[in-house]
Amino acid sequence: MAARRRIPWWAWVIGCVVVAVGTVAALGGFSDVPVQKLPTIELGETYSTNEVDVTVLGVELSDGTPFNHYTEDGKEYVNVEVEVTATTDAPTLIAGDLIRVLLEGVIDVDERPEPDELRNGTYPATLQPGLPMRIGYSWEVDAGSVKVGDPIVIGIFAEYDDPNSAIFDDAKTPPVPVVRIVTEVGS
Amino acid sequence: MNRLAGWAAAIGVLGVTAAVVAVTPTDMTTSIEVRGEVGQLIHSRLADVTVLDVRLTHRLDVTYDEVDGTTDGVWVVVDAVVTPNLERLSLGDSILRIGGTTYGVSDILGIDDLRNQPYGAGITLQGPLVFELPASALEAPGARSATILITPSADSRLDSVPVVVVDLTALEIAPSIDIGVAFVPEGT
Repeated sequence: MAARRRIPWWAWVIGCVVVAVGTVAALGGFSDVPVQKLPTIELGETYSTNEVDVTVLGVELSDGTPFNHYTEDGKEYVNVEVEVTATTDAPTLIAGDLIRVLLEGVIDVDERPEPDELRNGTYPATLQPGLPMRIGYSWEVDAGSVKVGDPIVIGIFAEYDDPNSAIFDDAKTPPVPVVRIVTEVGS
Repeated sequence: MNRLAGWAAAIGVLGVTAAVVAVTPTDMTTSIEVRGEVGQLIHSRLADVTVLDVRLTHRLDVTYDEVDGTTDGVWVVVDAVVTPNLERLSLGDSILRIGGTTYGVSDILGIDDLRNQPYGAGITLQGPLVFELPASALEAPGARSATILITPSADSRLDSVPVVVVDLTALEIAPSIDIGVAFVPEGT
């Protein structure tokens, strides 16, 4: 009777790697989740991240920003109004990174807006726990490049504790999109 | 016998190590709070501070600027006198704690409140710091012993910080409070 041939150790290793890579690929691969794959909510719906409750109230095309701090002739502005409340037990700095938009061919998701706290037009540096704040986020565009009714994707971003930071005890990860609103530019 | 003694020594070392770990504070870089009361001069390394008064209001009437001082919550106005001991200061990292919740000092008053200390060592400045809280914060159990830290540095780790403890529930909420610019008091 012939002895059973043993499978060599390196074949087990290769087999395990193939199974692991195949599983990851089947679940969407190692790349970031594309914007189109994010879950969606409606305009006016409140979404809770790890740090805030946020409601996007509206998006409009205007010839100025809420306090006209950054307004220039020959430009128009896509203004997104948001109400946000920190649910943390300490002030959070997420406001500046909370919202980005994608307007095909005009505003890329990496483009930073000019945020205004809508009470006094100041920069919304910190959100205090439990205290709602209304913020206007403004993107400058060339006049005529955006029309009322154009489709727009509004992304809500979150950041997380980064315990591996060698610099700060309370460091955060770079913000990542967690949910999107697919709507149209209003007037 | 020698083998038994070796084991006993090893177990003893492990026990002592465990005891040292158990009693060693994990937060080794916290600030050193120097506590005082309203009206009392509190000394710290970077600043000497006297909190003159703590008041509550629904609206700040800012006398030197067009500011919407309304709030959905409540303002805590901390009137204080601060003298830097070494150099110019910023009190922008001052905080108010109610139980386990921390509120940062508001920037609504611009650059003319007590957060910004334009002068150097020995020049006293008097003025307000304001904190904006949700109204529900006053109903929290910790509101009876709210802690105000007048933090004289962005990095107060292992540094002394003046602190006053206030019962916010004992204070009346004024409809409005006039807020002026910080100033150098006469006679200082």
